[in-house]
Amino acid sequence: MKRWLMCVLLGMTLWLTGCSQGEIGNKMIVKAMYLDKMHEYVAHLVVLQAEPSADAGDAKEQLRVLTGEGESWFEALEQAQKSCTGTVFHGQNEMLLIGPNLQQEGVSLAANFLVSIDSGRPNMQVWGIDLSGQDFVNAVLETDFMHNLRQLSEETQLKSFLYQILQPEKGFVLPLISCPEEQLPRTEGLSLYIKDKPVAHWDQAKATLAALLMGQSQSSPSFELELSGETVQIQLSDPRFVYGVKQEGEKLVLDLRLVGRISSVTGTQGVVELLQDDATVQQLEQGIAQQMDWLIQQGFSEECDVFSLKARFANYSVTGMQRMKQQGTLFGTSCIDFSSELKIL
Amino acid sequence: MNLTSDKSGVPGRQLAWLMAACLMADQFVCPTMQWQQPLTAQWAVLGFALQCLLIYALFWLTKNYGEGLNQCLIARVFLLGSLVISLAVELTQGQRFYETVQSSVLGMGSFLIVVFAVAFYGVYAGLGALSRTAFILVILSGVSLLFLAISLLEQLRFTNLQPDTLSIKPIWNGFIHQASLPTELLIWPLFAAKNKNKQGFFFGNVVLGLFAMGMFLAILGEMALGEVYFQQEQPVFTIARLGGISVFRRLDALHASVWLMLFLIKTTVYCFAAVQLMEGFNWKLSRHAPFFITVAAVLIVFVTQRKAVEPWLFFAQQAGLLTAGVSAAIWSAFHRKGGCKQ
Repeated sequence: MKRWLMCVLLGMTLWLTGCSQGEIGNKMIVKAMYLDKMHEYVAHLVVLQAEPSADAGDAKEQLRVLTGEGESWFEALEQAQKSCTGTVFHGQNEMLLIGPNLQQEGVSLAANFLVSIDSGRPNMQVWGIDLSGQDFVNAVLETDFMHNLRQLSEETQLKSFLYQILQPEKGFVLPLISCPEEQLPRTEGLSLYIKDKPVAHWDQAKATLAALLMGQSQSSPSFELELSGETVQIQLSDPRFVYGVKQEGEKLVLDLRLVGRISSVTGTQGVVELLQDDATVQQLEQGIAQQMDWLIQQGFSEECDVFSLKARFANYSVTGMQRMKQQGTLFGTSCIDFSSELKIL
Repeated sequence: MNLTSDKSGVPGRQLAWLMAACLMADQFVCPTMQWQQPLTAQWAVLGFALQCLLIYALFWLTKNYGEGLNQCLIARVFLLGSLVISLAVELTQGQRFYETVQSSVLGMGSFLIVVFAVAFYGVYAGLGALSRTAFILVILSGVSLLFLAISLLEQLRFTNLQPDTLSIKPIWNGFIHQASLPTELLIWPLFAAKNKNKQGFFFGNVVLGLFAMGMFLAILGEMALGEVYFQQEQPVFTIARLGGISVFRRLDALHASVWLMLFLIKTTVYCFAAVQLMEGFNWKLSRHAPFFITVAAVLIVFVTQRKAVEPWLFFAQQAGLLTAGVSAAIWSAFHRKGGCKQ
């Protein structure tokens, strides 16, 4: 092939790079997406509109909200994208917020739709938020809401990602954010979903233990427990679950043990002094056991296995697990033996 | 000078890189001719193992059919037909994958022009150049797999695996859902021609590598996404979008660029084989005419089945490969007998 022809061909590939489609200043970079359902499907896209400049001091960025409504998610998103002159870019979108109405039904459907198109990245964090669409827009435009939200998402223990809520038949959890007036947004526990409907709300204590069970946790989680009629804040250090399956006759039993250290216990009167064999520690362990009972009763059933406990049985013996499932003895707390070994730090 | 002026054939090592690149492309760019997917990694892996064993066994039957495929008219016609259908299906798969991975895409016409321009250059650059390119792409694909695994470390959960009791029926179902005669099975002897040195060894390595890769992807995907993995339209691309390394979140763009190049080389190899077969008809055409005739035929099939691959196309392609193989086998047996008599 003649060299000149090769040079021409290589040169032609430059027009295939897509750069001519739009300058970076015309790109609307989506930072978060809010979805809700009123009479119609509503989508709010929080976009960052940049004004790049060769002089870094002159470069600016501005948050905008693009809004769309429609008879379907496709229509709503398309309308939102068309409401600006720039090109909407979803590649940096890492947060999906679900409004109060959509939280009642249709979360998984919306998630499946987003994954099937360019708008949804499977690793987007998903949150339920108690703001209506208009309140959300006002909060984004008038306050430092997005910055606070981002900080909250980085600090929080349990995260739910878009790819985790694609299977409504297995159940999933949705972390909740509460936005009280004139206060910073804060986490408000979890909603447990079965068949795409919320069936239970788990408070902060259950949410922390649920995060541990799902393998997501910080090294020093803290939560509230009832201790002798008083609410105390307990902080654990390096907690983790240890799993073991044992055979008792024809039945398999999952031995679930919480190990770790108690860093501190703080009540209304201040820090509670703990000794190694103190009855207080036993009371704390009983309190944790009660929370775990709730979690397993609700989170491990025929219709819901958010903690993937069935896999623990199957890894030991698939035949045994399937037999127990047929006999109806697999789910709930009947085949799970929970205990905790918490030491004082 | 036409493509078939050199009758000695391609050395086994070069052919191995070429075929590896072609077979790997289907692992990343999800095949459209498999209209039902196995449900779990366990059955996918066991079924794929059966598929690989079948391919390797069939290779031992077909490895000496090179001359038959080049000389027997029926074999040549049916193989050419299968190649045209395979090319059309590859274009559909590739274009669909390209539209999925890119946010701003070229129009259909521009896409086809680019693909055929690459194929044109590759066909007339020769198999040596193609195999060297394939070598680089196979290495890049291996690096891509490594980065894919590293980027997914945070999302992997052993509890997402779906173990099940071993039984024949699900293994058979897993095999049936993936079983097909790959076009590469007949392209290999066509390119190898009289070069029979260590063919079995090189092809065996290709099949082994392919199985290892398929198993790795199935387990990785299920550990990341669970049961949902095999329900995705582009399963490997979905998990590529999921992961990240440190602050790098858009690694899927890098992966997709390597996988698209695999698609391009596969298309080019098919075009090369089609042009080589057409030159065997000795129609006294101009040098590039066989290429453009191939493109025209492919476009006709492509346009008629755009966006949805009909099952009849799959059966036509498989029937064509089977007929070409059987015809070449009969030709080889007849000429071997005739050679013995002399």
